[in-house]
Amino acid sequence: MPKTAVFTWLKDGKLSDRIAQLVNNGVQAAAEQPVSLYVFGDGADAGLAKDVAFTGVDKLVIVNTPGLAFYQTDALGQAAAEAVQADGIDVVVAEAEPAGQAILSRAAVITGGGMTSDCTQLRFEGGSIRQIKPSFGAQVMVACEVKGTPAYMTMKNNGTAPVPPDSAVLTPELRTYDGASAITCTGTEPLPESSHLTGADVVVVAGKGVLESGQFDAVKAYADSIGAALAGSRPVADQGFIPFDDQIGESGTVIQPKLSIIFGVSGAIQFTEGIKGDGKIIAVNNDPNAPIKGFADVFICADIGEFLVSLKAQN
Amino acid sequence: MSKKKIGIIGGGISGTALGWNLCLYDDAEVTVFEKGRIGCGTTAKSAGTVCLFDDSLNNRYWDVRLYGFETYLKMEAERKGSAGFDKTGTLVCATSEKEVKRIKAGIALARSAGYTGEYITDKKRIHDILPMLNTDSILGAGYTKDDGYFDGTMISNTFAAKMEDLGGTILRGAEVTEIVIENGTAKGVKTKDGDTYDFDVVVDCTGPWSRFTGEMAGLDVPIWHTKAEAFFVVPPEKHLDYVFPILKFPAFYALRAGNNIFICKSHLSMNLDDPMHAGQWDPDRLPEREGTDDYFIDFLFHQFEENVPGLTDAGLNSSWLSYRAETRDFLPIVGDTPVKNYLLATGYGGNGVIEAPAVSRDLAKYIMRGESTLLLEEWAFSRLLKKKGE
Amino acid sequence: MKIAVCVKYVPVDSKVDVDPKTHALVRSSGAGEINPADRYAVEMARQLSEEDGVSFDVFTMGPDGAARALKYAMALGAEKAVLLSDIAFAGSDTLGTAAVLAAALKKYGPYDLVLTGNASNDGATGQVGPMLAQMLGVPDVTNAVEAETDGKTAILKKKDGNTLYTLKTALPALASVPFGANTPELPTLRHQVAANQREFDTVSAADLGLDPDTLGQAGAKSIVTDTVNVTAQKQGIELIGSVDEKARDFADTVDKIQQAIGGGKHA
Repeated sequence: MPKTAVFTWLKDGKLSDRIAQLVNNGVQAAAEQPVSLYVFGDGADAGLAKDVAFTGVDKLVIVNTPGLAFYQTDALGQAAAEAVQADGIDVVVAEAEPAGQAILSRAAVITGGGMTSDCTQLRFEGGSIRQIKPSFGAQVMVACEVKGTPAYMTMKNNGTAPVPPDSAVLTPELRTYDGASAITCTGTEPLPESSHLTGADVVVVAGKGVLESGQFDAVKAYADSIGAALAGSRPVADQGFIPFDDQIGESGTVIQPKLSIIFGVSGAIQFTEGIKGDGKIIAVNNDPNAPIKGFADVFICADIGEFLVSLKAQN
Repeated sequence: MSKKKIGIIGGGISGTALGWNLCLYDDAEVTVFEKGRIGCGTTAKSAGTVCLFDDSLNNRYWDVRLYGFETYLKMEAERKGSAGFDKTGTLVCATSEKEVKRIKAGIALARSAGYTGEYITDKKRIHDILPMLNTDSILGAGYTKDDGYFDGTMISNTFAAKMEDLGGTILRGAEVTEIVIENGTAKGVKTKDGDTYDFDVVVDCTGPWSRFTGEMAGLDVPIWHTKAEAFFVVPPEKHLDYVFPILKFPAFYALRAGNNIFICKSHLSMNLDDPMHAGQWDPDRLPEREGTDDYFIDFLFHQFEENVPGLTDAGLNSSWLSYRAETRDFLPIVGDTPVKNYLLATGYGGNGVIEAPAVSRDLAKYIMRGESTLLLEEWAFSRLLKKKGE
Repeated sequence: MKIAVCVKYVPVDSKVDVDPKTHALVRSSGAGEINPADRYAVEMARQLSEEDGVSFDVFTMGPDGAARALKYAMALGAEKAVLLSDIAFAGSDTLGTAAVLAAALKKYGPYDLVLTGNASNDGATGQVGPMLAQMLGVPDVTNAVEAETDGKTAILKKKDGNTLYTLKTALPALASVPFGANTPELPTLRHQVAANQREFDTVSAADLGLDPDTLGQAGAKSIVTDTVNVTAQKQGIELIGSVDEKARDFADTVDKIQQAIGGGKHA
């Protein structure tokens, strides 16, 4: 049976809240056998053991990485690789988040292992691990396999049930990784909720339907209330409600937010080509057949005015 | 009252304009089949220019042009934005005496219909209208403030909505996979979902797909594809402090699109025998963006060096490729075919937005009352068959 | 100082269909473009190259059509452009891609700074940058939105959630640049037309001294075995009920997504 481990890293001294889910993913990959759990972090010590007491874990290793923060991936990659090599780990499961992904990418190179990222499910079948992951902008689910060992897999949050906590706290094996990083941090600064449009995580888009129902100000207020950047379709820019630079579409700005909330846009391709990537799309339109429906993850058919009044009343 | 059942294949500008015109007859029962979204194919990539003194449709068909323009003006007046009108005016540049004559005739026609228009030879005035132009390379220019461009997708959706208001049916996401022919007569269609629909008349409004649609009816539809490669560029000054009019030269045209300028080689300058310009392709394989050839950007650049130096240093923002459905004489194919009750309203080339209203008006009357018109006679399928035999 | 930008040529259409006979995925068109995030990496290089003595080269691995991505970068000032093209490269996983890029950068380098896009729009793994850095033996910073360098060290600003970290590293180093990091200059018609005429190098596995058995499909360690499920169109959901119910469900949905994209990281 392959040796399976879940790797997790402290960030700003805190544990991820997804460890119990990852353990479940690991257990599924290991054909229902228990897995090891590795916690890496600056100052990580035995005190963490009680916070990571989960069923399905039969070995806990806590690796103190003094002075290393999540962005020091050169050293953390080395630390991860050394753990894999020292303990003969065959399968590493971790969270699909940027730091872990970068760390394991480096560890995979060092250890000569293969890697599949952004999996939503792991299944042990016929002696190998089937890694299910979305592909082609999430239109298709594909099954992947890593040839040979070690094998690295990162997991998207796809609603895997967390394993239950275990009342018995394991005695951790404590280690220290002393390697240094070539990267130093000279300062941090907070970013405004939404910087400029193209880099914004959440964008609210007003379309012609918003103007027709006289709700531009209400949509703008809603965008502010959730800390989203505001953009518009061509008619909204044409009529001067937003600057042309904030017009989404083929002939305007192309954005790639994680969430787009689109009010009153019919959804011609000139518009939809302005939104890229696999972010979530929510569309509200009064036309039940609006083409935007086929573009949205969540569609709501409603009168824009009534909808916004009701939405405002919710808060 | 027994109704005449008409099935229309294609929900672009051609199919929706015809659908609405047919629904104006209370004895018509109309169904439009659209495999994607309304106005999503070639229509979506149309520049939508409807210029009063335009070179893309000969002055011979002035009434067609005027009818299209006024249809959209009224649509826009009914509900602002429903035709996506951007009233930028048009500047048509003359580079030969022949064009001067044609433009002046267009101006006379426009003025006859009550619009403004003038032929300008004062280079300073032309420069004031469009400062980035090289006025040395032109003889003069026709100018009107009254026209502009429309949005083909908006228009199609407005026609579709008006049609549904009148009781017409639009089947979205319904792909026609078979045309039912019995004894040389079209009887209905079948869709990908396996449903069969009976019709008295079937009309192909599928534009660049017409070769494939025609094949289902055993018909060779003589259209070619010409490439409409459009580029969106950002002028060096980024935000123009004047209204960029539709700019027409014999070999290219340009219009504003938000902050950008849309540029394209003109459809009448396409050569059906040049494999870079024309061919038979599969419109289903068209990408929504990009897919353009270096040839066209080179061509436009050299045109600009000569005529619009202000755009040579414009930034290339994006591009798209579309296929126009063109016949040998660059005019559409409308009406009867050798297959009884199987009609065409296709081959509009670059002029679907301009021509669809007048064609649909006449074709609807022909389908419902059997009365032809001069326009239908000129644009009949038979003209192309005759040429074929010669 | 020399900068290398590694870009990817990705399909324009994310739409896919399934061949009814072979069940293979077919894209509706072959058209491609430079990966959106990579435009921002090119822009970062272009800005840095405005300094005297700084120049940048561009690399891409892909079929002949991928040269378009090189031409884009050349129109924006890339000095040398290299197309890594070999049938042996086809089907590479991220490790294979990084190995080819690493070999090419060693052949044409050394480079002081290597830039990549943060992730590609089609694969979206974000692995190639860190893997390439490890193969080159240099540190890497992902999600780098700004870069400054004196030729010996680089100051990289990394965006993480709502915090901007100022990170310093000695060169050589690698940075991955996300979509939206800056405002990319557009290639002008004049420069694009000139770039379309320019020569670029085409490099094969043999040119790089790489063993074809370790590359492409043959060498890939993470392989796609089959397609599990295909939805031609996005299968969205529609919220139903009274307008109040819709508004409530909408607000819940927005909340949930916002929490999820805050990374669930103790935001």
